[in-house]
Amino acid sequence: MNEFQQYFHKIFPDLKSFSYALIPDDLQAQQLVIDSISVLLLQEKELIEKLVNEEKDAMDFHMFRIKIFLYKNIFKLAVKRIPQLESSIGAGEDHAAFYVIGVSKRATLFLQHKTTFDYADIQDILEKTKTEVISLLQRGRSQFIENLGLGEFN
Amino acid sequence: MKVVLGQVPTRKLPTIPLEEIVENALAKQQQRVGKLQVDNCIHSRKLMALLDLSEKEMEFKNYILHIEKCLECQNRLAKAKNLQGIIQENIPVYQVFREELDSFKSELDELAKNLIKMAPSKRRTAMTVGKNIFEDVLRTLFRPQMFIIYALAVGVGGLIKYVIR
Repeated sequence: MNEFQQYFHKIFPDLKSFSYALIPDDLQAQQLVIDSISVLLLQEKELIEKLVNEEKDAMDFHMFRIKIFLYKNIFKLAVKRIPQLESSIGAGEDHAAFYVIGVSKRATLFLQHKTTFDYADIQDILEKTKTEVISLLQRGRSQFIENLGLGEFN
Repeated sequence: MKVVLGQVPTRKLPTIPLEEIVENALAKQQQRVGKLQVDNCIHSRKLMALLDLSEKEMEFKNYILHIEKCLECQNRLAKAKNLQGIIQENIPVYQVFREELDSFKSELDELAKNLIKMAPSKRRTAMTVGKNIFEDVLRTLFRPQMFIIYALAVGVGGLIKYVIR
């Protein structure tokens, strides 16, 4: 088994967790991950070629780029699918406080609090400016705290 | 249900006697000597943003110096840290179990194999490029138009030879 596959197995739980934060449905979240890999397969031949052929030092860099690409596509696909799935998926049962927040805010909250990505990476994944990311984060937190019944934020 | 939450801290209501409250207030007053006591400090609004920044993004050294002096900011910072902890613990994280991971692995492997097939190895790429150049040269040399050029060249060569003699 090559390093690429190993890396992929390693990041799969993170990808699935991110997908589930966007769409609280087991199968749909899994499908999001599979589809983002398929997009990678179709669109990023050059990146994969580099990953397979390049030296070990450059490999980490390309692997990270692949990771960002996958997160980005999971988010993009989720944004497109949520309006179609809204009637069939619930509000995340026990975690309604989180799932009633808009998808962009949810994604920002998850990326900021549950991953090691910095602002620049989050900007890249969500395709937003730094100001937009900060604004999403602030509004997302405020809404989340309120939904948890912990009073007002700030 | 496979979604897990971080441990939410159980908060107990404090049962402090009145004397202790007074003592605490006096102690706090003594601590305030030499520190800024500002109500609604303008800087306190930026505290959550400060917590979000990673070390490499830290560009607020002066601001940190301010916090060391400002009680309002210190209180707000403690509150912001507490809120961040609560948020972090309450964001659901999906836990992938072994069986699910195994079944998914086979699907991923299939996709990964396709990826690798699509990317030719360095050696194969170099050989293909060399072979293609050789084929192109041969194809150009044996084009029908090229034979006219060869005939003309032979003719011109013969003429030059005849003129020289």
